[in-house]
Amino acid sequence: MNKNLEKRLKSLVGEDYLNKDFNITSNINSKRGSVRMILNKIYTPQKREQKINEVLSIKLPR
Amino acid sequence: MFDFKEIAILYKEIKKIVLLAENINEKDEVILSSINEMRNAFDHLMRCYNENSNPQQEIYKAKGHLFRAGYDAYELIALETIKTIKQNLKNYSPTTILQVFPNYYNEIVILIDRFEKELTKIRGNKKIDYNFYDENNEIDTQKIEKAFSDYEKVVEELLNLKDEIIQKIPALEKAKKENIYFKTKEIIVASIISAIFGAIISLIITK
Repeated sequence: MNKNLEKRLKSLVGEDYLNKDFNITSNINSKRGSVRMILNKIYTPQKREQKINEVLSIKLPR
Repeated sequence: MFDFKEIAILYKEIKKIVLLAENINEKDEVILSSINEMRNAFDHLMRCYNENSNPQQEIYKAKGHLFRAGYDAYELIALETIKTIKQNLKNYSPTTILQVFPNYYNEIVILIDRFEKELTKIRGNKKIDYNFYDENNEIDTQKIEKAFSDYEKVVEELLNLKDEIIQKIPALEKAKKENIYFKTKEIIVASIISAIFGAIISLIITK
């Protein structure tokens, strides 16, 4: 990863990013109803397909 | 004992990209395909301790899976970034955009079109999604490494462009207001001129 991208990462996650947990993994067993929460928080291949369609459907002004 | 240092360095790089993707993603989602690739990478590393295993080969395969995890994370960053860029620009006419971004057609549109063509290819032919695998269904690390560094460049260009567009929104708004003002002025002037002409003609006719 180049320096500019690393700078962005630090601003989003903090200086100690290499010791940060991935999203939601620390919450998996800690909350009731967490299964639904986890399912909503997973970027599945279906969601990827939806996102691609969404991005392609927004037209750039020409 | 095997030397895991090289793969640990690669893992750190991939973790950075996955963290960046998870945090840039507006819904804070975790990327299933990246998780799966990391799981596969871990499995290959553990196979180094199996009887009759070829550790060098297993490490090579683990590297391929890690690259793939990073590639999928970069794709999500690029998608989110393009979405933000397009959502911000769609409120302005091409004339307004060109006033603020003179390079709009020859750089910005070309960059976004290039990325979208790749997306269309992936969407149109799902098999291309797996073209990092060779004829034996093994990950081709050279191919994935090349695609990976190309992606990194595109992602950086897109992120820089997004920042530039967000910074220039006040300028875009100003140009939009000025254009509306000039257009309204033109319409009013044209209406007055046509009203005067109409009056003169009707005077001539009634005489």
